[in-house]
Amino acid sequence: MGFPFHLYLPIAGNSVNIIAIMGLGGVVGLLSGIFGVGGGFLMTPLLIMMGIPPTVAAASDSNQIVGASTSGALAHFRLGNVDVKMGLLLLVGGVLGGTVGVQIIAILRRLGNADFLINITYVLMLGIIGGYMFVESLQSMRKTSVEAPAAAGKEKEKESVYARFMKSLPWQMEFKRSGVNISMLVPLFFGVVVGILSAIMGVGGGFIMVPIMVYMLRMPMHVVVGTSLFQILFTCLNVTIMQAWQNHTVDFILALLLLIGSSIGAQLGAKIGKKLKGDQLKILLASLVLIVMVKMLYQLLARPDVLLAYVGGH
Amino acid sequence: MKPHRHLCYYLFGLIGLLLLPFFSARAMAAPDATQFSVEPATIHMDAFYDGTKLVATGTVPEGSQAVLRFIGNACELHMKRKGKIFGLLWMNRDSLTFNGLPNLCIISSAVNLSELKGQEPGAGGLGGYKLSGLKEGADIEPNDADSAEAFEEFIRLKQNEGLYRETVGNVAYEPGDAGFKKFRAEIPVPSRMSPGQYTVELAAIKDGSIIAKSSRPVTADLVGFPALLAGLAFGRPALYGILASIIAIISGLLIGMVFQSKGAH
Repeated sequence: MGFPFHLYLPIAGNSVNIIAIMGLGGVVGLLSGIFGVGGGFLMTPLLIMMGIPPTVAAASDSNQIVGASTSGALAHFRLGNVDVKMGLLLLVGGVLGGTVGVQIIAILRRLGNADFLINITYVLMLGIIGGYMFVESLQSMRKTSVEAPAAAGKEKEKESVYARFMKSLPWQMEFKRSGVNISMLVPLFFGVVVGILSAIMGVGGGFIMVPIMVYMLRMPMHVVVGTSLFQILFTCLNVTIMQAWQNHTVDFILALLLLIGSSIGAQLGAKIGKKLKGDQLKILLASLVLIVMVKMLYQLLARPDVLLAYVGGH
Repeated sequence: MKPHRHLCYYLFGLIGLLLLPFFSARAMAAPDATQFSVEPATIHMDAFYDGTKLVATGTVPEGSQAVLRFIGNACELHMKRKGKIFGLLWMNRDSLTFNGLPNLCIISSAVNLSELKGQEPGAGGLGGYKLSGLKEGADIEPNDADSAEAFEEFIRLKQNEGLYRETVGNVAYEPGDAGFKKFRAEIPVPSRMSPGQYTVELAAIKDGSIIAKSSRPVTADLVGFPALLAGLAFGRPALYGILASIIAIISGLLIGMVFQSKGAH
């Protein structure tokens, strides 16, 4: 009798191929380690394609992100890439924003417009963030190779306007790891914004948080990745416990299989990420975000195979 | 003599009444003129469960076709109908509730059912025994002009999930005796199945009509580790969530430590 390659998942109510699930976890974990994103926006649709019910896919994915981000955050912490103070402020803002976002969705569901808002928010956010990051990092790569001194001068000029506004805000704080001095209101505010958006979109929000840390908080890319993983760890801890408690949708076996793959992938990703330059990381993440955006746009425009969907997935 | 004659009438009448159940049983035997058994009667869904098959063996009247349905309980399902917004974007739109449709329906036969006579819908004929025949017991809310299309989409969705199937060629026959023939059916059981009570229904179909039918119960039970896990997840969900998180963190830390020791720099 050979090795049983299938395992039955009692919560998902289906049997899965162990190798396929661990492989999927490995690939998404690799991306998570490189870019500091949780990977929920990739993993959940792929799990649904493998026959896992949407609600179980999303909740179990949160459970595996807890493990993967622990592994990834630890790797980045050792490399000195985690700004704990910044991460905690973003987390507090994220929890507040998440609560507001859940209420917004509840109101829109009653009005019958929630699905439309969710899908449009996805495509717009992915398109804007992916497009901006792609163009910006491409320009940045050109600048550094052609006219480095002039660009630096312009950057200083631009920064002075932004810096003046930032300095005018109360409760200034020093974030040593990130090398920035800003008001504590800034990470709190952006935490709230990301919290609202991630509650609407039903994801951890890493792919929105990373660009905000880079462009709005002006944190160095390597600290951004570590800090994002640190923040995602706590967000997904909360989601896992709540989903298991309220909805019984966390399949621990599925999460563990994904976790074995994704933790190894995250470790490799952190090492690869360290070897890549900031601009290279940004352009790769931008490409990934744009690919997902095109896929979602296609889903919105092409006629679905079946014109029915279970309530709970989108 | 008259009293004797009356007594005779009474006696014949009494005998007739006593024999009535016997004759009526013979007359009503047609719907039950099938004998069959299903193995296993209980499906054990353990950690390595990846679908299985049920073997049904028995007899049906000569000249008829044995059609078997492995069917689950009817349940209420809330769904969304997809439609276009602004004539461009496909979105989940109207809410629909499906009642009276089983969570599983696997139909097995020796020949393609669409090749047999009696395709018209209705519980008494072949049409009522096909997937399309499930419409008879279905209740779709709101019940509007699009309900028929919604039912078709429901069947397609369940077929994509592997929970509704019409399988052909998995029923084999052997000669029997006394106007009956033996059959053996291998019914595929999908891996994507919930624990619970199911039924294997056998219908003997001749000239498009069901001439005999019978059914056997089948139970699907979680056993071993899946049973333990499901018990914890549904019985003590908060503890389950905390444990799942703790194990995930420990696993992440352990893998992190392994990598640190291997890749020290």
